[in-house]
Amino acid sequence: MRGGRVLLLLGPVLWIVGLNLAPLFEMTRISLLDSYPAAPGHVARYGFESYLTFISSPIYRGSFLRSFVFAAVTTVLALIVAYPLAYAIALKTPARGRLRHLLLLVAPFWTSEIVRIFAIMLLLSNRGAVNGVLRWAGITDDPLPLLYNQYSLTFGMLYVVLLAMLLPLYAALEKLPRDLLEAAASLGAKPWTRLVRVTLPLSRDGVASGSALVFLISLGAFAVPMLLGGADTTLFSMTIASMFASSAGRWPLGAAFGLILLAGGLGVAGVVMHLTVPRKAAAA
Amino acid sequence: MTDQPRRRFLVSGPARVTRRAVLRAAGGAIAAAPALLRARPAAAAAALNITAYDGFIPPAFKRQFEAVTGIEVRVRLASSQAPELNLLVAERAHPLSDICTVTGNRIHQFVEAQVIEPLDARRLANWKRINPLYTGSDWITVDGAVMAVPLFVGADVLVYNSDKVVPAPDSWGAMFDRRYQRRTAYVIEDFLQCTMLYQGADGSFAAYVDKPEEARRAVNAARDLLIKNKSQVLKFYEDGSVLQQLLTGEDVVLAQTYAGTLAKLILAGQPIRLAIPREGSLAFVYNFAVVKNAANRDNAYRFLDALLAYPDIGAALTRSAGYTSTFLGAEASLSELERRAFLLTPDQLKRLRFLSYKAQALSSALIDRAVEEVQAG
Repeated sequence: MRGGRVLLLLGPVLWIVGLNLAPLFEMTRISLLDSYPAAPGHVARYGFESYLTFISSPIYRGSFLRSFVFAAVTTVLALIVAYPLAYAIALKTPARGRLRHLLLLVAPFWTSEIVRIFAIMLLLSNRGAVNGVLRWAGITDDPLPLLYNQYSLTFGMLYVVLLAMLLPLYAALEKLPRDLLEAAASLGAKPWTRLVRVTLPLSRDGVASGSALVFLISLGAFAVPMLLGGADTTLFSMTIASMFASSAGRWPLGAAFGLILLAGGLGVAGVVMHLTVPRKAAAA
Repeated sequence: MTDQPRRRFLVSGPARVTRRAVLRAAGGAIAAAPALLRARPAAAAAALNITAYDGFIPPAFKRQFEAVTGIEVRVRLASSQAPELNLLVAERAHPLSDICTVTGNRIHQFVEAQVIEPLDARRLANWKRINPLYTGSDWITVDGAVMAVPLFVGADVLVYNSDKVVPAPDSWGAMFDRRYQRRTAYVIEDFLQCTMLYQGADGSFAAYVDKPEEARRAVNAARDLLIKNKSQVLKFYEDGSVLQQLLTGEDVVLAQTYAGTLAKLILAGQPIRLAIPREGSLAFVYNFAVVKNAANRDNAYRFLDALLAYPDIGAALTRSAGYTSTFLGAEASLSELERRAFLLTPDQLKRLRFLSYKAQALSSALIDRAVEEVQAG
């Protein structure tokens, strides 16, 4: 019996240690080196220079803070868009139709993220569908600059992460006891009051987990800002990537910056979870 | 009668799908996965592994070479020198490539990293078919040893939409012209050096071999100008296909790029023109080198010799990669339109300065940092 339990635990433990902790450990090791990949004959020295560079160079702080603001804005927008959708499917759709509605929303996500980003580019470019319709309708003569700015970046990111917000919200709303809503209604609560006093508090765990997921995905996003962002929308993930692409031994800096971003992201997500999830639910 | 085969299949197949049977099958699949997923070995009697840029191996030539020699050519694509070098360094103990792509100004860096080995030009019967200007150059010679086979000449050019940018620009300064605000794009690393030329500094770094402080000042001045004019740029790009898309969609009308990147657009009749600005531009030579301790060294030499065999192959290389070939007589096989799209004119060639390999370590360190600062700033 005990052997069986050990065997059962072995898979997840190997998974976490091998695929999550080992790369993190290696990244931490690289972040403490003075140069990597090392030139032949170079003896590596350990130190905290890479972390000190982040503290002493104000130039990197701009993209670092921009990443957090961008992730926060995306999270709030995703919540605003996904909550009514999840609410409508979970509470306003007959039980037999819910899965069908959910599948319709999930269907676009069966294609690759890159393909969906390129589809957005085709829609928003100067010669894209949106500008085509605007010109055809006589609303504008010159194409509107819809791509490679903060708006296209946020729109693209929102599209990519929407599912990560929608599913936890749906799961939370779907198990919401209907009789509580009926009781509130029979006691004279108007729809808005029922939403604010009953539905929202009871779906708080869905809001918290969806927000944490979307925030962390947006914080580390690379493909979306790379393809849809412009010169003035550089995020910290792109700064980190440029260090790994450089040949001047700047991997330690990239590794240190990656760990700083990870720590910052987990810290913010942790605070949000702490503030949103009720203490009793967290304890349970 | 018609049901007979089906019935027989059902009888001979699993009698019942049980949880135990499914688990057993899944277990078998997991056990077999390492064998199924294992990469093909780098060393094989009839194989050759090449790390090359897109278009550097014409598909028709590859097919013909494989058919004649029986050697399977496996190509791994690289997009720029720094990540390729990082990859080769990581694989140094057990190289997964036999041939790699290296630019003339980076050869010393590849040699110091011990990822390429001297080329035995005597094993290449067709070595003489390369323009002697390139085989005799110091870009491919390290400590008296020839290190690589020169393939193409590449250069930074100013590219513009001739319908939108009037008059035709003849200075890198056009990239800072407010009329084209948010209609420009560039590769930061390369345009930084073009900006140095624009500011009267030496973007090739040849003048700074023993003057690191002077080099630092020149790089910082160019960096500051780029950061000050960041609102001018729509997009920093790295891949030529992104620029093609930006120009085709008219999101961008003016950009820095490499000669040849946009040849397809020119051949398709789009209003795209190239200019080598009056301040000059920077050039480099793309080469193939044999990887140190290559597992398939003999196959590598057979491939390189076959590549040099006919000027037509040089023309095919130009068509597929978009750069001017170093092979003697290659341009004769190109049509007039192809020459306009792919080749630089003698006047343009005169304005080129080749990147210095001697200052490579210095320029890499300064430029890589400046690139991060421009991007993050």
